[in-house]
Amino acid sequence: MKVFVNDVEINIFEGARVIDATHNFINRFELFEKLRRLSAHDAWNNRLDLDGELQEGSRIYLD
Amino acid sequence: MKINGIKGGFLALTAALLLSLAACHSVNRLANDREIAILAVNDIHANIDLFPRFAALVDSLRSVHPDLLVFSAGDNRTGNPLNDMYNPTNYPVIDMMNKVGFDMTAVGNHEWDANIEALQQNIADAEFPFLCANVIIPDSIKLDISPYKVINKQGIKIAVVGLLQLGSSGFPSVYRANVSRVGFVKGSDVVPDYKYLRDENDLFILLSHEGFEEDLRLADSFPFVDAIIGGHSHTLVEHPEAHNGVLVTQSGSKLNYTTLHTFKFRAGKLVDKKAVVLNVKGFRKENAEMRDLVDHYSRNERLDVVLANATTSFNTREEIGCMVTDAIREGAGADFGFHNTGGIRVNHLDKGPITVKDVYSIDPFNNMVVVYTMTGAQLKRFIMQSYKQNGKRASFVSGMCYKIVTDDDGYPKSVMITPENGTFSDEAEYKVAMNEYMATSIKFNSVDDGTSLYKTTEEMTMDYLRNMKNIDYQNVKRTE
Repeated sequence: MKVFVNDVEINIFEGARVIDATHNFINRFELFEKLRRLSAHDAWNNRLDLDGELQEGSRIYLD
Repeated sequence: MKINGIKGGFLALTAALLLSLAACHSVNRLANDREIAILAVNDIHANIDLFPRFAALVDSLRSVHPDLLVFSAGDNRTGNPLNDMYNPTNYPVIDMMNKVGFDMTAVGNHEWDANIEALQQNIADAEFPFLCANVIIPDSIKLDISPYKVINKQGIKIAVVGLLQLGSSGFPSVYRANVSRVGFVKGSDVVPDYKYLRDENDLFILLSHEGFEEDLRLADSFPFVDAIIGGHSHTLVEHPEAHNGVLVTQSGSKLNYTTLHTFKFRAGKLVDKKAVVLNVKGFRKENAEMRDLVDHYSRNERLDVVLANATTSFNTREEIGCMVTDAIREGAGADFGFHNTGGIRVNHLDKGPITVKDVYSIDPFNNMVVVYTMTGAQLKRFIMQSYKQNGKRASFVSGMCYKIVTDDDGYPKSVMITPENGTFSDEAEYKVAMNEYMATSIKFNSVDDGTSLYKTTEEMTMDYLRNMKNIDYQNVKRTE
């Protein structure tokens, strides 16, 4: 399925969680230093728990 | 006292709110208004440790709102072996929800994590209804799920409809075999069927396990709904507000927060609605009865249950990794199974019984199993990339043996694969199962995007051991 991390489209397995998309994004752009201070929010600036489940088209943002 | 960040802010807000609510309530009585208060949580995920604080918070709120309603928007279970391995499964959470006095729960995708019979047992043990309007239950199955519930408080009739998320496959995010005997339709397709409840009652609420983004779409489509109390995406809506006139809320997960909704009626008409987030984790008081229950359920003998007998000891991490990957491969019905070396946390297991506790010690990360279709060539690149990204360590495997050929600097040049069955070719397509960590941490290509089986590696290992009864992995080595 397609989800968006910081507005970048990512193909990820169906059933992925926020942490999975985050790992995928960090791995893809080799932003490994981010792993120590992960926090994610949605387009309305609501905080997301890392084990929250994603759906097709979900958009998340990493600080 | 300096209060830092959201945690302190919510704590202060919680205390201040409890005081101000008492004042407001007396004013409401004088004006003969009606105020309906609903406290909601979602995605508890069996975090029983916070139930004593949550129960104390409910006690405090009930002193202000004697008619306080308590809702869960689903996913009450899964995430704590003390609860999930209990017999019957999930009974500790149901028991605690009963004692808190929950009025209803939505059916989340994880409510289906055991099987239909186990879910029915939970429903039978619960002193509150399970709601879901978009599940189709055949007559041949006993499953007492209601589409909606109407409650009358202070003469105000409150209708609540339950909704469950579906993935693009048309099923909720759960191990498919567990829901194979029931059907589902999209939540947004059934909401219009219940519009009559809006007309017949004073307050109309969706108790939605659809996720926040879908809840906003529901709010756009169905402005006749008064509020959507949501779950699934673990979104903490810190400042709840109306979208298209519909109040949409969600409280994060694991009981860390809860949302208090208040609906004010004058002459039977809804004139105001608002919600505020309260910090459960930061609440200092505990309910003593609930603390006793947590202590009781923390002594769960189910963790000592023997799953299989090791006829010889395990002396290397790879021997244990081979057992886990065999479980993943078999559980997924895949050609090959993989697990990263760092995900196996035990180097030695004695000969003799292997217990549930052992499995959680071996593999404590609660990773789902993900299945991909890969060509042989893609699989070779996956193995080499995993070796490279994994500190030049070969990931554990089932269904084959492989040897990494490296250059003088130790970087992988090629991989030689010897399949357990048949032949291996670069062009053929294979079903490859791996843990969630590898699925997201290794850079690789595959024929498809992959699918979670919504079953963890620990669960598959336990299933495998139960089936095997006796196991021997001594001297098993599949990678070089």
